[in-house]
Amino acid sequence: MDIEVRNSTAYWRVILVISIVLAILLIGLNLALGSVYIPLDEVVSTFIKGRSSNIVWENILIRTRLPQTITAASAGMGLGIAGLMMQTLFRNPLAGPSVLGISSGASLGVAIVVMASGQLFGVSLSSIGILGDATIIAASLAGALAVLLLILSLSKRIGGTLGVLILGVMVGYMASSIVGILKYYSKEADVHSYVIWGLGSFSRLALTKAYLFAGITIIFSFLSFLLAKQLNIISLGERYAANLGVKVGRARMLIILFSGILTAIVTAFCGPIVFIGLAVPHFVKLLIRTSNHIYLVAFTAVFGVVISLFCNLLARLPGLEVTLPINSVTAFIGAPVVISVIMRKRKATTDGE
Amino acid sequence: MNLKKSYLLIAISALLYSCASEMGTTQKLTSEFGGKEVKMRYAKGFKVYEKRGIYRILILNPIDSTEVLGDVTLTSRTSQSGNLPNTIQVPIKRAICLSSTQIAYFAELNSIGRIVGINSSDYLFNKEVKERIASKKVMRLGKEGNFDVEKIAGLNPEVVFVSPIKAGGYDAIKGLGLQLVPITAYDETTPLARAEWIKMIALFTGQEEEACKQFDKVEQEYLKLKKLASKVKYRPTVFSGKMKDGSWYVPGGESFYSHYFRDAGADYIIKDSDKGGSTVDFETIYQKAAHCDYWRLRTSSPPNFNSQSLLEEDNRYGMFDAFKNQKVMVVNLRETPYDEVNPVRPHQMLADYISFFHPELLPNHKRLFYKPLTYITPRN
Amino acid sequence: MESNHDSNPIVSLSNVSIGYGSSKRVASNLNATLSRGSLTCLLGANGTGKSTLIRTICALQPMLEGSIVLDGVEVSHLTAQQLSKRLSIVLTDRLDVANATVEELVSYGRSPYTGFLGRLSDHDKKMVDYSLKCCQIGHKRKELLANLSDGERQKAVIAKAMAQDTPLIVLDEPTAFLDLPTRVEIMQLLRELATSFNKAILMSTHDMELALQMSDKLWIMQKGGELQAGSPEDLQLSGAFEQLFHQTNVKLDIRTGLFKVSYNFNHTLPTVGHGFHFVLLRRAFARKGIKLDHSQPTEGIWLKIENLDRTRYLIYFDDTLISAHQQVDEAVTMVDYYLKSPSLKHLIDGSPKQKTT
Repeated sequence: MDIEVRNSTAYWRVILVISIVLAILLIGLNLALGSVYIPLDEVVSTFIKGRSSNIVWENILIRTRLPQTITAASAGMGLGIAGLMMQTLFRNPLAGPSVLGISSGASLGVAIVVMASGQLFGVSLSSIGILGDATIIAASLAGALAVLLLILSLSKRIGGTLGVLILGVMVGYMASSIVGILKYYSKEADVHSYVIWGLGSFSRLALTKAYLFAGITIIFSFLSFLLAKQLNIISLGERYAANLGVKVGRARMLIILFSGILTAIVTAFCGPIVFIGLAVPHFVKLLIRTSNHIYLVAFTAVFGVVISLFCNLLARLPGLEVTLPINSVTAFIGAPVVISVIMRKRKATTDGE
Repeated sequence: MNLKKSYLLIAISALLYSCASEMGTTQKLTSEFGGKEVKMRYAKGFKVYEKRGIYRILILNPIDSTEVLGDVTLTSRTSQSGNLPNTIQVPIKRAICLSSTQIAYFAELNSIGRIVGINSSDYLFNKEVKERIASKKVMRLGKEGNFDVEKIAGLNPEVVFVSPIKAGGYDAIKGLGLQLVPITAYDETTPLARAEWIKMIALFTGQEEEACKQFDKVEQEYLKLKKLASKVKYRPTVFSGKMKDGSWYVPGGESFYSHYFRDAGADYIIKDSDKGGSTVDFETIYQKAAHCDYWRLRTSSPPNFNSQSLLEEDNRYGMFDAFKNQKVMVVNLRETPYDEVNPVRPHQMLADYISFFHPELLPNHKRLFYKPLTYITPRN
Repeated sequence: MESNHDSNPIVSLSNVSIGYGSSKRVASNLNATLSRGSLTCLLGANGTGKSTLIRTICALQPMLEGSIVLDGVEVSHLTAQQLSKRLSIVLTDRLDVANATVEELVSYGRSPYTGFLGRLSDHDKKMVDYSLKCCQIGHKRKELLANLSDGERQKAVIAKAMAQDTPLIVLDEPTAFLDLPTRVEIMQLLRELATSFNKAILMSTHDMELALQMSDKLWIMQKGGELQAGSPEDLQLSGAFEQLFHQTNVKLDIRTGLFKVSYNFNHTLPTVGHGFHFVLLRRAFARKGIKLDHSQPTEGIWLKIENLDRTRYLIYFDDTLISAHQQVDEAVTMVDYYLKSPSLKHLIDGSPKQKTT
């Protein structure tokens, strides 16, 4: 399909409709399918009425599948938009939400709380797991936000975008190495526990938390959408952006802030999820040829939902006794996308003019 | 900019508030229920209170025993259930065990039939459980961290026994409104304490008397053996463990295994008061244990694990005297139902140990868990 | 028509110093103006500070001293937003915007005027269309930037600058790396923008010949940091170019406006013959360090251009014809050989004649 078509608003309208239909379809599939068979009419009526005659089915549908679907959809939207903003800011197609070390900071927060035995702030650490995931979520957020604050405050001093990128990568490495040291000195059970957290999962949240997660993600996704003009101009390069009247330092900070918060939230509630943030923007850019972030952010949000729900469905293919860890599925889907982007780029440069 | 910063603050505050409201509920031990405490002789991880036929069980934090991890009330099916929270009607008919070690208690009480779901472990030995899985009476629910919450819900269990891990992930199960009971038997520091948990499980299955009888027998046998071994004149030295990922985990001086060693008439080389353990490098453990008499080894290896396989793992193992003198006691998790049985048979574990350290005391003992390491001469 | 006396320049530089901090001053005491409706080229040797001056005027780096007044206001007092409506730039920065079409790039030039999300009003869209058309890139409006040739991409960026609708456009080496026809095209486009749209355009360039021919004014930065401004003709007459090429092998031929590379001559070869062939031969021999002139051949080697039914180049020694050639190449080679030949060498140097075999 040639460029003319892929750049037209009519085409975009069609794609938007298709993607929204896909999203609804996948939501439906995620609710209707699972390891326990529930007849379709029962599924529909339970959601319409809000309850079911069969309490077990009601529990499954409303308290397991629904929160999982909401979580997966929100994670997809949040990570997709975070990844898009990172790719634009750093003008690098291989950037993703984790490029600033935010998810490494989150992992470090959880690692400290899970693997450092004893007491921390008067909370006995060994019992955290059974009391509720709240501590883990708080620790993850704390770690992520600490890194975000560090990057924001240093980005003002550094000035250039490249410097921020290097800083983020280095922070990521540092956090990982500290985690490695903690792993070395910890009980096997605790290390095992941390590793399990690191696998990532969409099924850790009960319904109320899932709604909270979705709400926060939607708010910050919308705020990122409002940055469309700044994103457009900053992708021209900092000098052109300044000449077009944009306050580059402030724009950069806002982009890092929103992307960082989205990444932090998703990592806190789901653990580190790989590849979705990297692959979804590329998929969108492949489909609709525009650099205008008004459309890119909107489409990334919708396709983030679609792709994430699709991965979730794959991970829980009914019939399999075990559910695959979500990161395996996202890597499996995401890696080919990234490979094709690289091939495409190489082709463009080697073909020449 | 200020507007946006305030959005940020609101979002974070909302988040932290919801977290905090959950965190604030670490209960402290109270006696508001009243009732008589059913005292346990050894186990410290749980407390049982009885009042008019209704039992209340509190699961405690192994490190800080004033902190309550779980709180359930058990009422009989016939009586009226009170308005107390977390009430389960017993005897239960549908239980889920999310850790293999919990099977031991059910097996000992012949109550495997009450289990409808277990975690998917790599090795399962219990015949009855395997049969029930084959006949679809028991479902496998996935590995730790990745339990299939839907299947759990689909089984509609009356209680879910879990082994607490720090990363949690149980919110989703709790969100289904199911009763979660943590089993911290593995955090007990003495073998009899771990075995005494059978009484706790028995409260769920309605087999209190039977459990008490069982435990009394086990306790008696254990104490008898302990007394027998206490009279020895010479206590051989023993160490435990092996290298994993570049380091050696050494159980502490007051840890679970150190009790076995001592009660079996041996001398555990680690003398600190650590209830846990520490990770050390090869040099440190070698320096301590080079001349130790016995080596207790736990491994998960293909069958026919022998001296050659051990040397292949790390040929420095050959430097230990215990290896040179062929005094290595091995339990191979792939061959022996260790995890599934040992919690309830401390007397047999002790007998195994004594038969190694002081074979003359138990000449006719048939070992259940440990075997001496098979030595083969390498083919050159 | 642009007047010599700039009564109302759009940009005035007064006593400007540029550089990177007080310890690294590149040039000082710069004074110049730019007027609407004129195209000014900034020339100068490498390292004299052309890029620094461009960047300082574009507010991409701070001025060390002095004042730059743009449209009546000191540049340092303008906010980014205000500056964006007065100055647009075209740099050598690589524009690597994924998925951007030409139309989108040009429409980003309207950013100073667009609203919150960057949406284009009807007027904005008209400006974009108009810019695309004027810069002759309208037929490629839906093309991806990555698929354009270098020349087309330059036109697209210039169209963006035009869409930005500023009285001043500053370009940093816009014709670098382009082939000659494209360079001419770009220069013509910039001329057009200057005159038809009454913009002041300043561009730095190394392309002296085109600059001399096509710009209204020149700024020449000499070594040592002096800036000389004026029309190309005035600067030629004032000797600015001599100064510029002072220590090099390049000379500006004022009559033709072309540059001549001077060579070091080792020999002078008297030549009989004029016209086009003489000119060509002179150039060919110059490359070998041999200067052709019309002095009288007295003794030694000399050259004659014969124009009978076909042209031949005859090499004489005294009165004897040594060789004749039809190709310039051959003639040059032979003369070079003869001049270097040891048996003839002392003849040329003036030693007693000897018979050659």
